[in-house]
Amino acid sequence: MNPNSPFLVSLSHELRLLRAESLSTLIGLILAVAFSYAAWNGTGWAQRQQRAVAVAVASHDSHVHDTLTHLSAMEAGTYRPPSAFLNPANPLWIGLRHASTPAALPATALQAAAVGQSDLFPPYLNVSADTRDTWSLQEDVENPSNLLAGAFDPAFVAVVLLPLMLIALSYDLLSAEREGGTLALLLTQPVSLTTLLASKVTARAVVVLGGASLFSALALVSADPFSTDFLLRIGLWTTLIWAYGLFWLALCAAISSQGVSSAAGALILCGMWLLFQLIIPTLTGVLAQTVRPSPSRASMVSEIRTAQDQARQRSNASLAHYLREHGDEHPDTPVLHGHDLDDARRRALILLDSNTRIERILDEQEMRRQDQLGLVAWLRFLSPPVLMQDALSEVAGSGEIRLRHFHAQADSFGARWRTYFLPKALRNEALSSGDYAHFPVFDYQGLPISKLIGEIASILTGLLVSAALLGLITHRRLKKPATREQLLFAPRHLMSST
Amino acid sequence: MERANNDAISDILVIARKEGLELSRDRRLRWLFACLLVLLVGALAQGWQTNDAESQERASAQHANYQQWLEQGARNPHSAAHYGVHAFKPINPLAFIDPGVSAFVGISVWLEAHKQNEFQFRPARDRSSLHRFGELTPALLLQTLAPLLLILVGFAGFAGERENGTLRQLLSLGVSRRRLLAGKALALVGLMGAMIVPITVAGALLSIGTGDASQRLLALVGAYLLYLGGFVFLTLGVSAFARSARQALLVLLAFWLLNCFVLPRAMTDLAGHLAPAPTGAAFIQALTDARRATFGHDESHPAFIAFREKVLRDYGVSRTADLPVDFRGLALREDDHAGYRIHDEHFGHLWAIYDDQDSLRQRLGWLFPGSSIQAVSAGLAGTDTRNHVHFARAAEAHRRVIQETMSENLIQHRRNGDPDYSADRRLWAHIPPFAYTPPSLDERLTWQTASLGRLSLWLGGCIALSLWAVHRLRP
Repeated sequence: MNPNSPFLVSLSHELRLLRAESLSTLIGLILAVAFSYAAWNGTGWAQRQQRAVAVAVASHDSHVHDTLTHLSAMEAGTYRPPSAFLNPANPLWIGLRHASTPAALPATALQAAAVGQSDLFPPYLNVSADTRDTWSLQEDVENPSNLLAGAFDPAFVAVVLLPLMLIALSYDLLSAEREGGTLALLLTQPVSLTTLLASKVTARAVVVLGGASLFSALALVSADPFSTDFLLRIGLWTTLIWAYGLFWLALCAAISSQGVSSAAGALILCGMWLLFQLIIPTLTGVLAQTVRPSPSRASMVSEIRTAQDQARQRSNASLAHYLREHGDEHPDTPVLHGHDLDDARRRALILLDSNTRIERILDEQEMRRQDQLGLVAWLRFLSPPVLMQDALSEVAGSGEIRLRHFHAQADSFGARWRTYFLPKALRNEALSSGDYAHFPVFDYQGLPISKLIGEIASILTGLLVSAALLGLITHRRLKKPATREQLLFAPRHLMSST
Repeated sequence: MERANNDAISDILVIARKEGLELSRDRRLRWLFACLLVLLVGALAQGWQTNDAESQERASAQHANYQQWLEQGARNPHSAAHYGVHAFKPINPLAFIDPGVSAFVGISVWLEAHKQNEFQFRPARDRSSLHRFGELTPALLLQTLAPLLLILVGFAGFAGERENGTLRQLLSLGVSRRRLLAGKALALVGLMGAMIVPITVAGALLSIGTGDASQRLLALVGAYLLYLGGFVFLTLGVSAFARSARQALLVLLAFWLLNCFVLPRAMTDLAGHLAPAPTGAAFIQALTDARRATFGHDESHPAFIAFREKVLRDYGVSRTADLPVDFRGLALREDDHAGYRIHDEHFGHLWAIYDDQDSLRQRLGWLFPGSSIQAVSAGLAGTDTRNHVHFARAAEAHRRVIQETMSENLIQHRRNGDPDYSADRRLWAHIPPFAYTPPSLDERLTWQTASLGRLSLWLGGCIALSLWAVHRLRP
């Protein structure tokens, strides 16, 4: 590009002005402090989550170690279990309680960037051979007031505060020149209104968005800043900050092109901010809840209990049926006898029977939940902050998509776990020390990158298309001679009393 | 003296009427106010409808659950204790005004043998991320949008008059500055009243006959008057101080932003750092470790053996089989009592940390009153953490009634050691349906004393600020 092009000349002029203005220094300072405090909070949260996983894993390991020690002693003939429940060779209680294993969601390299939905869904599930409802709906212990307030995390700074910083620097893009009497002078130069506005917007993008990207990246830099995971996520994070910022700048430009006074521009833009941050999200929330209500957990509790009661009522018949079918099978190493054996088999049959029904109930509930989320996935395009919040949560690894992906894996791991232990309990097969090494292991498969990029791409498209549309409208308006006249001669004190 | 008073009142009324007339002629303001009113009415209607549906759902689930308890069939009483019941949290009649933490606490808790469970099924888990932007409720509108409206209407109160040159004229007429302030404040208070009245009326109508809801509603309205009243005087004070209307608006908007958006989150995180609560895993681990001292069903546990020895000694027999009562029932009761102490200690400690966090969050409530009004509003609507804990304690008390009744039945009626002993519906019916008595108005008000104090301080401070500002007001 020609260094003397009107755009570049105007841009360098704008950058010089911004550098001289104390407001831009203040905004830079606010962003630096806000991102640092937010990253401190976010890191604290991410570490807390991982500490919880570590405690759960350590507790599991030590429990299994104790059980295994008892089993070795039992195999050596030096330990006699006091009850079937405490028998380390009993596949039923080992699978149901003593070896129940935490399926954990590992942290991403950018976990500190957004708490997202991770404060509602714990980072691990204690999977057991019990029915799925007992472990897949586990919730973490947390002060409800903290959940209500939400976290001051980097995503909050980006979604809520960043637009205000942009508005503070851009509410008077053209009106300041007009009110200062310099607009007419500027337009005597060979520069179009569009070029002038574009250079102002670009200068602000460079200063505020450049600052925001830099400060957030510095605040979030991980222990391994060259890992693919960190580079990919911080790349997406920065791209989103720019796209989101461009939307707000385009909005400021569009309002500026309407010829309103600085005061009116500031008020309108603050109103827009409130509209997108608060009014649209809460209204669409009401709409989504009305059109596709979330599942009723109260009735789910009753349904699950009914399923359990019915399975219990059928248990005598189920046991008789099982014994008819498999009566002749005798394992080489039986573990239980008499009443204990009957009890264990009955319990295993009740679990298998009720779990089939319970899984159906849970799937129906999840389907209703997904119905609402599916609707919201469209409605959120009405509000860029909602889009941005969702995108940043996914980039951080605490969004709905990654959490759902984790839960689906935990569910199938639960099925594997159940299939490993309950048939053994039915066959009355004693677990050996060697079996402990072959218990199913949860191996989390990360969300495919294509899924993450696909989600972010659709959100980026939404943000950029909105920004482009606003830019186009502004450009067309500025091209009209009438606008030029209106901008130059609009009453200077319009709304100045407000 | 009386005449002077009458003059003062008539001056104030004239000013207020003039301000009111100007406000009512402002088309933009009419629009803003109309929008807020529509949102308010919509929020009230939607909130009430949702609460009503949800209330019925929970009540019917509670009823169904009790029926299931009664019809569980003949079984060992301790098995029945393991089967347990679910306690569903009823929805407070005022929750439609302020749902507080309702979406972030579980809706029910399973009352089973041996352990005090945590609540399950936080409604927020089933909703989208939209929910994190807030819920459209009267509380949100009064806490966030109403102060903004007062700021937008009032920021030019003095600064605008000064810019238009009318302030000089007014003061030259000999109008007292205090009366000027009082008149302008009265007009804004009128606007504030117009926002609060629909909520009061709707709340009163919808909560008729539901315990102390109407008294709580009155207290709630009083708290909002303190909160919004402070904004009236702050706005006028800043307007009198500011060099220009624009500067006044900037300062007030920055304050509003800090109060409504930034500090609630920033203080929450700070409180989390200063009074850290254990993670779920650590809490469970600590509870499990503490419970290792109790014997549960482990008959080889040293505590079990010691207890058995003690019982045998007390009854003067050498074998449990010779006891006149069922030993298993005694052991269960002993184990339960040890469990109660452990649960009380651990849950008590956890809830005390939550209390600390909540009061830390409010430390600046006298200066930025958002945190204080949030606490008072949810507290009086019965939807804050303390009210939740009150319910959790009541549910736990009910669980203990079940445990005690079941163990007592074993002790008194089971032939010692009989493995086939079972009880039936007659025993299950001894357990009444779970009925919750919410805290009294006095209790709720006591919980909110500090927050109400901070709100009063806030209003007092704002009045003092505005008086000082008009005192040094230069035309």
